[in-house]
Amino acid sequence: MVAASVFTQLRRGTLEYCVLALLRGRERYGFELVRALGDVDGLVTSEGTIYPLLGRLRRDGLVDTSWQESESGPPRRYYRLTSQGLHALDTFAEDWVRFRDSVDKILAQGRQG
Amino acid sequence: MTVVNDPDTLVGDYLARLEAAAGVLPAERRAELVDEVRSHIADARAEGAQDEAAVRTVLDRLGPPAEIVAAAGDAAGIGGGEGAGGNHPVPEPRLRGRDIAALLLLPFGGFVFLVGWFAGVILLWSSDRWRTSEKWIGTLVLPFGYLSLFGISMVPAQVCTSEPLPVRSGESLPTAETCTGFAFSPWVGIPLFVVLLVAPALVAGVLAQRGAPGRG
Repeated sequence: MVAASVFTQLRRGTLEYCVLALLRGRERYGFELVRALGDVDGLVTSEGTIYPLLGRLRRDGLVDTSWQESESGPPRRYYRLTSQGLHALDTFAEDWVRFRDSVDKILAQGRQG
Repeated sequence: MTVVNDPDTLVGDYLARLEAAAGVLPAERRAELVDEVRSHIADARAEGAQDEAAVRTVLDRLGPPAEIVAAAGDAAGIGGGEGAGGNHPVPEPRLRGRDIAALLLLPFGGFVFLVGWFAGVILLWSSDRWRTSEKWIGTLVLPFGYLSLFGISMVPAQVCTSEPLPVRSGESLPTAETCTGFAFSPWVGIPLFVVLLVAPALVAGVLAQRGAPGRG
């Protein structure tokens, strides 16, 4: 149970950077983004919760949106990274690697006893 | 028993529940959220989720509307509910609008037909932001606030008139001084005036600084 709540926290903290990472180099519309996140194991429990997150990222200036025609149906809202978003992503990616390596190292030490 | 639910009805119900749950959000955000989820479902259906079972899966993956809205509250910092949102309690503001009103009404409320000051006192005493001692100070350091100071300065200043007394020959000219009104000597009056001028503002400032939830 403890582990479950830890992962809730980890997910909450990292999900937005996963969204930003998916937008690196290309725009995506909501469904595309959500599916990409939902198809990975253990990252998203309720896909719908990504939409409020996208709204916040836009209000925080990390992503921008634009409406584009789709070949099927009504226009779609596309999300793309702003320079501020790119900067936040790069910073996170560096910190994440350091953090992950540290945890891995400690876990490995624990195994060796 | 089978409940007949064609995919359109399922989707309609889901969006209606989302819309209802999103009632706590500002209108613009609610519209955006419902819009995005609606087009998510439309995209999923366009990509092959046609029959009832497939649509159910799409909705299940989206998650309960309440959870989506809770995440919206969380993302906005307005707190709310269970699920993805949830665990952060919303920090209570140190001073609410009513507390700020109290701090303004105490010095200045007297000018609002006098009742303004009483309103300030009521707001002060019914607030949990201050200790009892602070409430006494807030009340007693210049009752009626600056209105009192205004009142004091309206007291007619001392007026002195001197009339020459009937003159008798050979004597210097005596005068009788008669004074009406009331005055402090300047050595007392000026500092007192300054203190009364500064004190209410100072007290309001200190109360504003100390005010915090659950102190009194």
